[in-house]
Amino acid sequence: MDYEIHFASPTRPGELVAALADEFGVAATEVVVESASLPRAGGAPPLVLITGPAADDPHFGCVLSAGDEFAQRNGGRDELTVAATLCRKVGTSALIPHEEAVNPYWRLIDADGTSTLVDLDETALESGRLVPGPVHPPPTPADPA
Amino acid sequence: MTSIEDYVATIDNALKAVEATRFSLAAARRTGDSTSETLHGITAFGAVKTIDTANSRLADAVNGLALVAAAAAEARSIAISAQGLTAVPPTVTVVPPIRAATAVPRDVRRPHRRHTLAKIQPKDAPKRHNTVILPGVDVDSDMARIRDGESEWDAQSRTHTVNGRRYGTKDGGRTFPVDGPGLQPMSRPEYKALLIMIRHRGDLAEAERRADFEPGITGSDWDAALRVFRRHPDFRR
Repeated sequence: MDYEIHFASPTRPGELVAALADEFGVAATEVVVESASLPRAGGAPPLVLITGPAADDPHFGCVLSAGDEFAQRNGGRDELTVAATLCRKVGTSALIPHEEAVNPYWRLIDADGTSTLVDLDETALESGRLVPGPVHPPPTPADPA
Repeated sequence: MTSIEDYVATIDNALKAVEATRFSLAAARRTGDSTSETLHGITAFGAVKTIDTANSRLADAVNGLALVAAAAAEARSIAISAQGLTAVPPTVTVVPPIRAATAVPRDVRRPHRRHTLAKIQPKDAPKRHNTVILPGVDVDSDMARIRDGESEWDAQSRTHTVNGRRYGTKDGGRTFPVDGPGLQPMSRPEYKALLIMIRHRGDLAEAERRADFEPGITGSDWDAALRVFRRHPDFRR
């Protein structure tokens, strides 16, 4: 299992580190915080990697990445549960992609842990920024009548 | 608010009442029952009055609709002239919600460039499921065939299948590749490894050092990404 949670850019990485400790028992020494503009070249992988937002990304540029080892530590919680837990704890919002292969939308998680389906702005995507917008739900299949 | 359907139903009921009364009136006349005849006559009169009233209200409602339509047309005309646009004939489309769901989206646009291998940018955001269009796939031809109605449409998954390739559709007509010949599905860690290779412009030694640092990217993810990257213009032997 892997995780990649895009937190709102104003989110402070230090608050996420504290929340990981409180909610999932992850020690601060097991988390690496790096800058998007100056990523580390290599080394042993941390349990959790937090990449701070680039200066030109005011949207959802603070990214938390983790893998199987973190999943084992948190009892196998899925990405949505982890994201909602951290959003509630820190009081921020986050974006994660939808689970299904044929669903092109994303899920926006609010500070209260609730989430809604959103679409991303295509113009912003061109520069790698995630800017959520409303989803116009596709029509449901017609009834037999 | 009473709808036109309500007025029509009232008229319909009144007509039925008149019909029933006429039948009873004829029976009373046949038997010479003057009291019944008078009562049925009064009932029939009342029914006819009901019809008249309903008719009158229906006419008011229709007139009201016409006024609303005229106001809408005038507002539209003002809006068009304010924007300096050329007026186009107004169209009135009545689409029952359920029937609208059966429409097959044919007005499609090709997938976002982040799906095309040679156009992926290092900053692109990986999704949980990603599909990369490999070189050699004629996406424009696939889109043309979808527009021409030559694809197989699956309403449940909202996908077109054409030339063996499956494309999903978003609201607004944007498509995205799903699977099929020349379409490579990749997991998120695999796609992230591919992004690292692209960011390092084919310097695989540097790319691998970075990938090793990323939690979630395994050796098999790296290998899968490398198989795709071998088709990328930046790949160096």
